[in-house]
Parts: sequence; structure tokens; C-alpha cells
Amino acid sequence: MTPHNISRRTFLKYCGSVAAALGLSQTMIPQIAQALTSDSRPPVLWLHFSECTGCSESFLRAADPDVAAILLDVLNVTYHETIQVACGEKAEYNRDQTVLNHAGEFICIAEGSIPTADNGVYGMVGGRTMLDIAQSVIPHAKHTIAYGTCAAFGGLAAAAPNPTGAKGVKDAIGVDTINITGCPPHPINLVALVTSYLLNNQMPALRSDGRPTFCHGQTIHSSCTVPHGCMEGYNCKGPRSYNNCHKTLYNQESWCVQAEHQCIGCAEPNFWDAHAPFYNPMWASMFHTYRKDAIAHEEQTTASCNRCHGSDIFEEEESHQDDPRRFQQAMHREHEINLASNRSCANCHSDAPGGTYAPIDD
Amino acid sequence: MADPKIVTSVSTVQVPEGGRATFEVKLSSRPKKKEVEVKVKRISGDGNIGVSSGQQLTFSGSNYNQWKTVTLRATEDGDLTNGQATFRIYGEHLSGATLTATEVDNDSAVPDYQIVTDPNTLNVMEGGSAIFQVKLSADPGRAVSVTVGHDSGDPDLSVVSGLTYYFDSDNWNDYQPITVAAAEDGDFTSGQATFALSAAGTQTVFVDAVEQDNDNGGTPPGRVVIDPVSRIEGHLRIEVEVGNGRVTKAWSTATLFRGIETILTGRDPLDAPLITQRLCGVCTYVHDLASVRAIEDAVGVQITDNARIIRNLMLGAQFLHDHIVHFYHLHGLDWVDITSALNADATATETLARAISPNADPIDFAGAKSRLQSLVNTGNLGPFANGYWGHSAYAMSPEENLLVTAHYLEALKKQATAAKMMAILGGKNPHPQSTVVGGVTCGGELSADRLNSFRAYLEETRKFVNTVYIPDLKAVAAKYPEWTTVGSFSNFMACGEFPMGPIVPDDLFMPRGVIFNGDIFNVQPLEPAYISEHVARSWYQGSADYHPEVGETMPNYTGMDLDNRYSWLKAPRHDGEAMEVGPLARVLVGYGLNRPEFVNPVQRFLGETKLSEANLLSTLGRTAARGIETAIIGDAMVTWLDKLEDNLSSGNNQIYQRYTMGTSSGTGFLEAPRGALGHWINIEGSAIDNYQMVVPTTWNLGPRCAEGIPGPLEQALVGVPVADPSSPVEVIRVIHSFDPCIACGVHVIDTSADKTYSVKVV
Repeated sequence: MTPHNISRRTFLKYCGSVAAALGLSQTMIPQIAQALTSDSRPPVLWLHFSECTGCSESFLRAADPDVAAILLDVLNVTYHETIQVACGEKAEYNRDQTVLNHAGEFICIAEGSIPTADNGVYGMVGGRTMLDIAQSVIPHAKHTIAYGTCAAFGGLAAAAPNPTGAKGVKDAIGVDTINITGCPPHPINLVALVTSYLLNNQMPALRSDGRPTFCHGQTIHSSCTVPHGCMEGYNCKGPRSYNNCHKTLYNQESWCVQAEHQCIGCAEPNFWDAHAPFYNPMWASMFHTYRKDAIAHEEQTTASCNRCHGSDIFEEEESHQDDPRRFQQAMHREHEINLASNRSCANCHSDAPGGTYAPIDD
Repeated sequence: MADPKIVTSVSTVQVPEGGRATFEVKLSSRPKKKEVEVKVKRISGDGNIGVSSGQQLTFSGSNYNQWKTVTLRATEDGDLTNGQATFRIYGEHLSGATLTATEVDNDSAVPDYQIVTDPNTLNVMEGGSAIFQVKLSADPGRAVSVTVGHDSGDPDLSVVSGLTYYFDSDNWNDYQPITVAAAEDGDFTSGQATFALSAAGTQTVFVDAVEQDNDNGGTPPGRVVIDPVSRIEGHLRIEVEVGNGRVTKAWSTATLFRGIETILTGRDPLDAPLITQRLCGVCTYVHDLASVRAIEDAVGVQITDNARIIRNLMLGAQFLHDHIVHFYHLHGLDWVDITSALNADATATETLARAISPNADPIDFAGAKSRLQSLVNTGNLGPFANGYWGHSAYAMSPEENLLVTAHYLEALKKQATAAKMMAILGGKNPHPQSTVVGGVTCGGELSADRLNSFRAYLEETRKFVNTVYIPDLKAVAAKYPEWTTVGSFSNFMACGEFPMGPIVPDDLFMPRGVIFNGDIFNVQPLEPAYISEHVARSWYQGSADYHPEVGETMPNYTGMDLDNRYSWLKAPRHDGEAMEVGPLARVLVGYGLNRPEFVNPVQRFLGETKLSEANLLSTLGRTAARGIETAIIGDAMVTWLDKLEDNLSSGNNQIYQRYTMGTSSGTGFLEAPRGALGHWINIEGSAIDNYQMVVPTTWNLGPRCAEGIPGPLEQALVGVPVADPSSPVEVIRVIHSFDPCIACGVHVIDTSADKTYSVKVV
């Protein structure tokens, strides 16, 4: 049951990582192997809409086995603009034949949001609007997977003021999608989803926003174990982000918080607007004090000093001052509380109340 | 008022196998729009039942209640059952209908043999032709003639060759070609016709041909349109005019607009790097870093030595990754015929591999071949389906084709390895997240362990570049000598990259400069003030050209009109000239300025391939320069990594420098793998007032400017041979040699018109 020319050991390792991503017992590996090599695998159409191709690129970084094995041996991808050889009408022929001959059977993977303003003129492929292509292809798919935050929820192109009227696939054409999110999403979640489907002939459990619970069921923060310490005080969105990047690791190497950058919550709906600004003034001041290799705290003379010194929060948390990171986390919590009660805002925000983040001039 | 309903004369219809049946369609009430289209499509069931005519019907306010006919057809099958299929009849703002068709089977016994065609439906460009194939399913046991005739439909579609074939016991299984041509017509619709193939003693089979109409804004005679162009980032349409077997004119069109600069306005400047990074996931990191540089220029912060090196290492990793992917996965199959590799002798391929690169890691060519063969045996080529395989423009031997095809598969693994370098320092790839205004965040990842991993991935990638990529490049160059003279352009611009110290551009590893008219030993300084962007031929309001800082641009889609406006890309010019940017520009500027890091590898390459400097100004020169600079950067990265480790071990671990945000403006230049990139930011208080980007693909693939001067790709395409306009693989070669990245190019919008800022050279 090993596909052509992948070593059996590599293949089983791969099945094992799929089982892990799905939260299945390793005893399921033989069934997973069976599902991945079945002759009845449906064709896959991968449609690119208003996107940056980062989702496809992320998919190309899949490992154990590599993307060559997935493309040649596991998935039957009949249309993918970044990798397919055919161009122009030959490519469209491949796409249209799949729709025609496998209506109700094929799986559609959508990447990018769909521009809807002005009848969709902001995105065209082969002389047709992306909106038109989506409407003519997606309703015929057995299932449509919105791969990435743009396809699922609109993403960057839909950020305010959304000049092209970009929408996630479901919002644009009214067809339910299974959403695997992230910017970019992790490829193992896509392969695990497809495998789960092949295994059970139905899609796995979904949250109300269309995201599978196996990868988007819990917040990052709830099981986060970064080697360099929690970044909750650094405007980190891990506590609000339902994703598993800290477990799957990008490129089998790392993830944002391991690189000591706070999570920006890239898997969440509307995160470009809801989570911005990503670096509030507290972030910069905290960053100075935390970095052991940055300018020493006592040497700092920045506009942000008076955000802490002289504030109620600072006085209350004095006990933590010798442990900058712990102190900042405590401050962060205080800030959340203050924000809720609209207390002490004027210490940091010149035009408080109102909650803008305009810094105080020196 | 409710949407009009689509009404069908019947809800079920019986279609005799091998025959046809009709039903009628009309609307229940007057449609809101002047004209509406109704489509008929099979959504499930027996694939042998199809729509033979009336797939698309147009109703107007005056004829909505008149019946229109749809014809269904059941092709001959070998089974004994009455197949069933469901058809959906639908249209925009119309309440759709469903219809069930049942085949009335006529098979009492399986016939001796059947006529087999591939494909069963055919798209034919108006004014052009297309081919389908015919053979028999079994040995007929005697000579039989198969004749093809026009059965029904548009008379402009006709068979021009292959009207009759004789099959017997020797050749019944060999496909024979039948050519269908579509004559030029004056109508605006895509005509359809059905052709019948018949032979004595078996059932007639039908092939549908659909004319691709070129009137009413479509393609005039002699024109070739490629849309979508695959194996690039983003959405690109190319139209060329062909005369006497060569391209005479070309038009490049970007077909997606996202409006990122509008989205940036009013946001926190520090968020701009995260947002602009999402312009492109292929050349990821480049906008992140260019944006950070622009803000650092604005706020006047000088980053630390470690931050500079870490950024160089991340960007270097991006070059290594990107160029490997481009050569093998985006461009390689323009030169390499995968299907020919199936005829290769694996042992001979191993000998060839050792001859061209003795130090390369051994590769299992027999395994690669059998893997390809298995794919072919499944009957579905997946992403390789429907390529220009067998085209006369492919010149490599089966063994050479297998060699590069096996490396294509190997490179899919190596690119993932190259990406790991960026993930170590940036958290992930694509879209790393560790470069911030003032420095980098990844201090905790600078342990000896992690940097050792980085070095191991770097060495693995360099070995692949030096022992596989570069030798393959030479092998391709040797087989395509004519491509060292076509697809040329002669103006080049490089803003330079990889700061080796704080002074820019003096400290840049890859120098900055411009070259005009191919005069490569006369490198001129790049003058940012001379850069302007034209919109006269693009889908924006107005037609004046402006410096990027003072642009006045509002999207205004006016339809595809090659004589007027035809792209979402603007047309940037340096001192009024179209400039090519990218690997060739960088290598030529470094070579022209006599930098030894460039002179030595370029001369070595020219010596080994017996090419001249002039040959570099060509399609293959562009592709070769990409490989040459990959090796140059890979070698340099080793020394950068050494320096970083030296700094760390001597106790210098500074990675961040503070700054104060405030009203200011700045510029960030960067060399992306695809070429020179500039970001311009204006900050008011703590918000972005204006953000501008001029990106590599705008330079290379931009449309004509106000003066009508075509962009670099549009000029490079002129003179390129096209053997078969229906399979323009030669055009694709030139397009791919520029490594287009369209998502970068189509976001350029500036809503503030009356700002002036000074341009700084960073």
C-alpha cells in the first residue's frame, strides 16, 4: 500500500504525523496508509483568487514525505496555477474537464479572498472574474476547503477599508467551506483534513466558523511551551488564537513566538483590523527592558518611560521590578483591567478616555 | 420582486444511446437585467450524457417567455444499463431548475471494437486549429476505415486533416490525429459543432468542438493570448501578435488588484512591515525588510551589526530558495520535456550526470523514471497534464530530460531545506516574523546549536546549487544556443543589496547602478529622483506620470483595450526609460563595475559555455545570471555566518536599537530575488499618511508608458520565434525568464496627491 517509490518507512512516518495532527491513535496508521493510496481518491482543483501565493508556498514546505510525494502520489491535483505545467486555455481545459467529469466528486481548495466590488473586475483569470469562476466551479465540488485566512475570512485584501470588496469564499458565493486558517496555514493541517476525509468519507468535526477542531479547537496559549518564555505581556495574541502552530512547527523548525516575536493571531477572522496595532506603545518599552542584549533599562530615556513610572500600575507591581519579564506580564494584566474599567488611561494616552494609542510627546 | 424562475418544458427526458433528445427552456417573468444568461450543466450522474447544444442561452426582456431548445446527447457506451444524469439549469439572479435525463441503452452485446477519441470535446481558437486523436478499442480483425464528418452545429468549424484513417490488426491501437479548424467569423459568440466518427460494424461516436470566439474585444488574427500564465506568482495575461513565425508585438496585463496601499493608510507605521510582507508569499520577507528599512530611514535609527547580518542571512536564504524553485519548478519545464524522459536509459543518464558534475550526490534515476512512469500509468498526469509535451522547440535528449526531471523532484526537497534557514531566524517561512523596526527579535535563537543547524542547511543548499543547479544550467544552455540571442533587453537597473556596513550604497555587497543600451562597462549611478510611474495605459484615473512619492492614482477599470488601457500595473521609468531589474541587472552592474565576486564566476560561466558577454543579454542570459548569483550569495553567506558567530562569541549580542516614532518620511530600497524594490513612507504623528511601493514586476512586466514605449518584457518578446501559435512554449520561456511575481505589482495606489518629499538614497 505504499505509493510508488516512497520508502515504506518514510511513508509510515508521514502517516504517523498525520495521525498525530488529527489526534488519532497511532494504531490508525494502517488505515491512514490505506486511505492515502486508495484508487478512489477524488481529483483536487486548487483555485487562486486574491492572494499572495504564501499558502501554496507553505504547502510546498510539507515534509515526511516532501511535497513531490504528496503531489505525485497522494493528492490528484488537476489544476494549480503555481505548479501546473499547462498555461492558458490548456490549463482551463484541465480545470473545466474536472468540473465536467467529476461534478459532485472533486475537492476544491481555494486560496485567497474573492474581490466582489464592481462586479469583481479587480480579479480576472482567463478573461473571467474570480467571482464568476468561483460561482461556476465551487458549487459543483463535493467539498471546498478554504485554505488560509484570506479564503476563509477575507484576510488582508478585506482589511479596512477593503477597496476591492474582498470576501472569504463562503461570504462571497454562499457555499459552506471547511476553513484551515493561518497566514500562512500549516500544510500538515490540510493533508490531515484530506486524509481524515478519505478515511471516514466525511469531514471531521468543525467549529461554528467552519474550522476543524483538530487544529483550531484550542488556543495557542492553552498549551504553549515556548523555549524563551511567555510573551503574554508583549501584545501576544496567543490567548485569543485558535491554532496549533506551536505543536506542528513551521518548516519543522520554529514558529513566531519561538523567534521571540509575539503572535499576531493570523488564524483569526478579521485579525488585520481586530488585532491591530500589533506593536502598541507598551510593546516597544517592554522590548527594551526585556532584551538582555538591548540597552539596559536604567540607561533608557524614551518617551515611554513615563508610561510606567508614575503610574498606579507601576507602584502596585514594584515587587516585580527586578524581573522585567514578569513585571511586564503583570503590567499587561493590569492594563487589560484598566482598559475594561477605563481607569488611569491618561497616564499613557494623551487624549484619554477614548482608547487611542497616540504616544505622549517628550 | 422575486427572481424570475427558469422553466423547463419537462423535468425528465429520455435520451437514446448514440442519439439525442431535446427539451425547452424559458423564464417565468421578465428578467431585471436587459439580458441574462442561462447555463445548462451536468452536475452528477452518467458522464456519457451531455449537452450537445444550448449549454448557454441568452434571454432578453422581449423574449424571456419564448422557449429555447437544449439538446442532450448520449454517447455510445459499452454497458447494458440505462444511465442517468442530473442537469442544473441556472443563471445569475434566476431561480434555477433541475432536470433528470435517462439514457435508453441500446447495447445488447458488446461490439467487437469501438472508435476511441481523445479528447471528446475540443476547444478551437477562432482563426486557429486544434487536434484530437482517434484509434480503435480492439483489433478489428480486418481493415476498416474510420471517417469523420460534420454532424451538426456551426459550419465555421470543420475538419481540415485526417478525414479518413484505415485501421487494421497492426495499427488499431495507434492514435491518429484529426485537425479541426475554426474559420474567422464576424460574430461574437463561441460557435459549437459536433463531428461524427463512423466505421462499418461499430457505433458512431461524436466529438464536440467549441470555437473560442475572438471578436468583440477578443483576439484578432495572428494574435495569441496566454491567460492564465502558470508557474508564476499571481495572475498574468500575455497577448502577442505573431507574423511570419515571430512575435511582432506584445502586451502584458496584470489581472488582479488588491489595493494594499489604501489599506495601509492611517495605520500604525510599525504594522506596515507585517502587512506589506503579505504582498507576496513567493518572494516572502522582501517587503517586510524593505518596509522596515523605510521606517528606519524615517525615524533615523542605525541598526546593530548583528541585526544587519541576521537580516542579510535571512534575505540570502530567500534568494537561495527562490532561485532554486524558479529554475526547476517554475522555468525548468519550459526547457525540459518530461514525457521524453520516459524514453531515457537510466544507466546512460547516470553516466551523463557523472560527466557533467562528478561531485554531485548520486541520484536514483531509474527510480525517478519509474515514478514518472507510474504517474503516467494512472492515466492522470496531475500538474503535468496538458503541457506542451513533444513540441518541436524542446531540444534535449531523453537522458538530459530525465536528468533535469529527477533534479526537479530532488529540488522540491532542497527548497524546503533552504526555507528552514529562514525559519530558524524568522520563526517561519513563508512570512517570517522576527524583523522589527530597530533590529530583530530572534536573540534566543542565536545559540550555537541553532546556528549549527543553519550552517548545515546552508551547506546542503550550497552543495545542491554548485553540483546540480549550475551544471544543469550549463547543460540547458548548451542545448538551446539560439536562446542566448533572443528575448533580449538592454537597459538595466540595480539598487544593490546586502549592506556589509552602515553606509549605503557604498557598503553594498551587490552594487547599485544603471546600464543603458547594453553598455555594460559604463555603469551609471541610479538616480531615485528620475523614477516616475506612468498610468496612461493602466486602469487608473488620469494619464500623467509622477514620482512615486507624489503619485495620483485611483483605480478605474475600463475593460481590456490594448490600444488604450490594459493592465493593473503601472509603467515605471528611470529618466523616461524602461529598465529591466532582477538577477541579470545585478550581475551586469557588478560585472561592469569590475567587482571580483561577480567578474570571476561570470567569466568562468562564459568560458565553460563558450558564450560571450553579449549573450548574457538574452532569455538564457537572464536565467544564467539567476544561477550565477545564487552561487555568489551562497558563498558570501558562509562568511556572514562566520562574522555573526565571531560577534556573539566575543560578547557582542546586540540585536536591537531603540528609536522614537514621529512625523517623518523615509525610503527603503531592497533587491528582491526578482529585482529592485522601493518602499516610500510618510508618517504623520504615529500613523501612516502615505505609503508607496515600486516593485520589480512593475518594472519588468509593466505596460506601455504615456509615450507608448513598451515595458521590458513587452520589448523582449518581440522577435521571439513561435513555431505553433496554439502551443506558444517559446513565449512562455521569455515570460518565465523574468520570473514574474504579479501580486507584488498590483497594489500600487496612492490617494494623496499633493505631497512632496525629498528622496533619499539609502
